[in-house]
Amino acid sequence: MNLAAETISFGYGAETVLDRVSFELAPGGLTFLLGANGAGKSTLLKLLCGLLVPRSGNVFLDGRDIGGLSANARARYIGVMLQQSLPGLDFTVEEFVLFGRTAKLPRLAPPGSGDRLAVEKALAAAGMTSFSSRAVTRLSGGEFQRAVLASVLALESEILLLDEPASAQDPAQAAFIFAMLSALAAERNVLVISHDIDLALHYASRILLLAGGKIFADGSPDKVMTPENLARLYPLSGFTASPARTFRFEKV
Amino acid sequence: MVFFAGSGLKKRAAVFFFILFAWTVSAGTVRIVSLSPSVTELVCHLGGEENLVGRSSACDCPRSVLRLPVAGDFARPDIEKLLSLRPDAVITCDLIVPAAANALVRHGVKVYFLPCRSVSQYREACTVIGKLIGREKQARAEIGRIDSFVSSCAKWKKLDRKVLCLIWLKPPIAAGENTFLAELVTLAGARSCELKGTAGYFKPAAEFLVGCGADTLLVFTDPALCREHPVLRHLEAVKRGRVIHFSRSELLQRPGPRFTQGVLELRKALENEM
Amino acid sequence: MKCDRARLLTAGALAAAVILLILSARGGIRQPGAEVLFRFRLFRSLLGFLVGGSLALSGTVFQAVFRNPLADPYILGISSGAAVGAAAAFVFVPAALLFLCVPAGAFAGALATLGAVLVISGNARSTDRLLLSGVVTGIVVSSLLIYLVSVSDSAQLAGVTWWILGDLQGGTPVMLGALGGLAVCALVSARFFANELNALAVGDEEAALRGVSVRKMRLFFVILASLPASSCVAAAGVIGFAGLVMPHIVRLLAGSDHRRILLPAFLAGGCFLQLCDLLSVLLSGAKEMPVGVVSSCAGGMLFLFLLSRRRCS
Repeated sequence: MNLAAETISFGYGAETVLDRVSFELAPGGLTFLLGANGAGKSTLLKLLCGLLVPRSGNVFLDGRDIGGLSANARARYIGVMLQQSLPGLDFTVEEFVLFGRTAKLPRLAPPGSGDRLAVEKALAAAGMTSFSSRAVTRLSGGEFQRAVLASVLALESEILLLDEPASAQDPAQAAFIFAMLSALAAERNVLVISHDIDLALHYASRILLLAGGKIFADGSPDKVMTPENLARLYPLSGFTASPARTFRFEKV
Repeated sequence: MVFFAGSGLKKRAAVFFFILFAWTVSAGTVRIVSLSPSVTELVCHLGGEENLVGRSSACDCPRSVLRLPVAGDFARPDIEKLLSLRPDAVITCDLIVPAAANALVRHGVKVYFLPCRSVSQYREACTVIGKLIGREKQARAEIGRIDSFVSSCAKWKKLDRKVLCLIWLKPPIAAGENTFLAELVTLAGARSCELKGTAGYFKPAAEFLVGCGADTLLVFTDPALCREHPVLRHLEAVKRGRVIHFSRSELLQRPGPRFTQGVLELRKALENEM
Repeated sequence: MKCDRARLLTAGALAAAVILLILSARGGIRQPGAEVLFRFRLFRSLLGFLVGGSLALSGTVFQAVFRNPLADPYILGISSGAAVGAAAAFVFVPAALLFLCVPAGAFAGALATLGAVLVISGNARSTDRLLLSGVVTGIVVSSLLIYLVSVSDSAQLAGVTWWILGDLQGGTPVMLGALGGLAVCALVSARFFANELNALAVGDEEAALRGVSVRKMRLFFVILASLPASSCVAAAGVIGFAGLVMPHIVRLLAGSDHRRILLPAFLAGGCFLQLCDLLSVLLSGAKEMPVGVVSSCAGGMLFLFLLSRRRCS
């Protein structure tokens, strides 16, 4: 299943945030979207899932304009993880993750074995199995972020759009999550928004760079992640980007 | 001085003493604002209507007091209006809002609290008001009249009726023991139903309504409401039509000089109902 | 398993409701006075069950829609609107028509307030706007109530005061039938859209991402929760805490999945108010103890217990 943006433009008020952006997501590898604060990354993500309507251009899901699809249909195929605050009510983690599967749950019958299995697999994938009966309001920030990720994974959608899925994780947990996402991306479309250049360099098979309302670079990390591109991506006078040594957690 | 120079001596002396008398009388007349309808009636009944300079909005008897300026509600007087009447004394029952009473006292107005919840308190009120307006003789006469009335009531044949008084029906509010109404029902020769532990006016529980044993209801509003109340409609008194509708509620609920008339009318209604 | 606990809670609450109904009607603790008391108490207990259940259901839905554990059925000001309607009836309507006009006025007042809130909030455009509209409308409407109280005489004031305190004695077969029908419709509808309610309870954006038409469903749930609450207030006055505390108790025992907890919440709310009513009868001597006093006291203590439990954990 493919997700494609064709010359989409969007803005808030008189300001233009995205200017005729086009690209296509396909399965077979993790795609990272990098950009500075306020570049429009989250806006682009919301346009791709139909939460926002572009001023011009279209988003196509397997050739069909998502604007013409029902909200439920979009929700079945596209799993989205946004920055989320703690809910006000005391759901358990298991309930919270199950709610992520709303678009596929039966209306009147109780959740079936398939639903339960999807929840279990999602909890395991996010490393939250031991937290399943804890109230979400009693989770730390990092734990809650993993619970949100699990709720998106529980949908078992063809397409995953994830906004900063590991920003609150320690390096080991971040490595765990991205190893899982890399495995998923082999068969599904997975787009990740991140500020972490190091993670992008290590896990991405494709990187999109967003600045000035346009995607100005699209390709493999080696091709795209040059000092010149980084300087254009994160313009900050008096600073320059250079490779640095880092620790990384690898699976043995 | 010109007037004295021009007339005869006797005539001049009469005029002088008349002016002196009028000044003396006006200096001695106590200015009273009454915030209690029963007190207003009593003051007029004792001959002290000229002492009244203001009334509450509820004071409506005798009709001549309607000309008096209204100084607010019996519980919530209009302090400014009241003070503008320059009263020497304000007489009220004990329902006045305490803040209002304190405000009057701070302005140097003497406030008399005369709760009238029984015949004996009515007698005390007669004594206090009689002394205040200089009508002690009339007050004693009134007390005598009441005493003789109570004695004559005691001689009446007792009526085999157990009466429950409901002053309102939506919600039902009953007159408990130690209320003026309960005492008047007894004076009229009937029995009040068992009211132990029910001081004052209260909203009766359903169990009380059913278990109090009343065979007659005394109501002051539309008796048809009894048939709409979920409990009252099932009482034997209502089913058998033993509901006395006393339309002139002030005769029984207002502890004033006319309560004796109220007792007589109640007695008549009870006898007719039997 | 939470699912089993929900079923247990449902069965337990249903059994308790029946037992309380029998106890109340027969006066198992007090000796029945007469046949009139049996019928009267039966209707009273049934009314308590329907009112308590509807308020608990309404509270559960509102807590999910507003994502706020302090939301109760009166959060949009409908209790103030109903009080104004009832007070207007007491002040302006002749005594002979009060038995009909007070509940009708209260219901009209509640609906008018709901309508005003929806208009001000742009048909529930956002949760925050809806909440603010409810609070502001409630304040304005309360000022009308204060005015009516200030111009009322003693009898009218007593009527308004006792109405506000809550009273389950006015149950008639027609009223019970109407309340029961409304409660069943609300329960079935809420259960049918429980997936959407779960999604809304997480967040507006998250619900939209899960395929929920957020604005439409929020409006739907607000009306669905407000109608039974309005009818409860019209029938029985302002009875507090049943709609605030019972959803918490049920969530504590059976989780927060609205597909499982709507029916137990309704039944538990019904039992709670039946029990409060039974207690108020026990505590009444000759003088009636208003059921609203008992429900507020008991509900308040339960809420304190929940808070202390939350603090300890």
